[in-house]
Amino acid sequence: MNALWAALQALWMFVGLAALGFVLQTDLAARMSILGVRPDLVLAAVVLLARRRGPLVGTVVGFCAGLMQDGLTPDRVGLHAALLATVGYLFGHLRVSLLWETALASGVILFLAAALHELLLRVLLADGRWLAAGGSFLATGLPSALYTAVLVPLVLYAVPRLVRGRA
Amino acid sequence: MPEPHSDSQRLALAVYVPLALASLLLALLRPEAPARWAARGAAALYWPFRAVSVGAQQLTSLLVEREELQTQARELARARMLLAELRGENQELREQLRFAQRDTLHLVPAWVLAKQGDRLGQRVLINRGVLDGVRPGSPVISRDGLVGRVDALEAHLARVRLLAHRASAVSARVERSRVEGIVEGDPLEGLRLRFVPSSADVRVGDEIVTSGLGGGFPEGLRVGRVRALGLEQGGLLRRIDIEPAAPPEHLEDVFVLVAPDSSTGWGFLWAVPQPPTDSLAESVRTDRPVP
Repeated sequence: MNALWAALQALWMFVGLAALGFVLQTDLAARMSILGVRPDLVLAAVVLLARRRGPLVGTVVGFCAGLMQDGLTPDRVGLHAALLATVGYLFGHLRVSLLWETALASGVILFLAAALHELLLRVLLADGRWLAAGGSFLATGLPSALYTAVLVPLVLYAVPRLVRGRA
Repeated sequence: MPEPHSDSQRLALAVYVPLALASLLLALLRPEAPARWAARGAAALYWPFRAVSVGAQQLTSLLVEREELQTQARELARARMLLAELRGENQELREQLRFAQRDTLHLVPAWVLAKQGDRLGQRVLINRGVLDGVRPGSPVISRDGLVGRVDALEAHLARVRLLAHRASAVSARVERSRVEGIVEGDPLEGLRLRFVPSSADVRVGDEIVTSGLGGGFPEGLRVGRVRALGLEQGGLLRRIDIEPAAPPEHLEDVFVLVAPDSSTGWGFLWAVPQPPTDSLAESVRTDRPVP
């Protein structure tokens, strides 16, 4: 029960963080678009929180953040919630087996998470058009995952060090 | 899927499975009501974040705009200072040269009704007269340059003595070197700038404009261009032939220059002895030369 209570307490904070992630995704990520490829900042936030707090928090935060994304694209309510909850749950388990402290490991994990998310998203949206889904994954899904995997660790690790170094 | 090893992991699995299954079912069945609720909920939840985001964007754009406006204001202040300085300098120069403020010219459009020629030269009749504000001596121009001056008037009719008329004389100067002289007309030999010393700086192609001296014409009207140079008899004066800016053979639309208040303005400056005018209209109808 204590774990459930802690998860509920953390829920409000994480809902706020997820909402902030959404603002980042809709405003900031749109400005960071390169040739139409955007970093997935919401997914990065879910993965990073799952890393810190484990699969339960990863699941809940992923579900909330996904549900918020679904609210903006009500055509498929539940799709992003299921996907981000899955990513949060899975990558919440991986925290014990990988070196999260290094930027490279963080980048690799983020790339895998983003690629898995993009792949599952296209599989569920394919409606039998597998070739188009594969093309879309290669054309925008993988570049977006790569962009996320490069950008987020860079910001999280390099920028604070630079600031500390100058200070 | 990883094996649950602890209570928290079992709890995570217990939370994940129903959430993921319910979400997937929603996504695959695509019911309408949850979609509406989700959209409304997201809108309500995101409103403060969206407001902050939009506010931040507006603040940023306002700051940028403020910076641009400050830059423009600084440039305008500099331009204003420069303008004031130039205005003062201009005023000072005008005072030094004893220039009066020039009145604004009024242009009365007219067209040529008839052309008349005699042994002294050409005149034309235009469809504007004393009731249109035209006064004796009013300069007449075309878009190319000076045409002549009014020497006879009726209510809505005026006779214009062209520059090439033997009785015409216009104070003029070479625009480039400001050498001054008098432009006189000759029906056979055309326009000439006379009374210019042989040592004066004049070149073929120089622009000749009115000098404004004598009050007959305002300053700066184009008269023509130097066509040929030579020496007058005796060799003391230059012979300067001018190609007229407004050739008489191409005259159609012209403008009469009138002072803002013709009765008290430049009218007195341009006043010339008024020849008999009773036969102007008759001359148009009969196309006979006006005496």
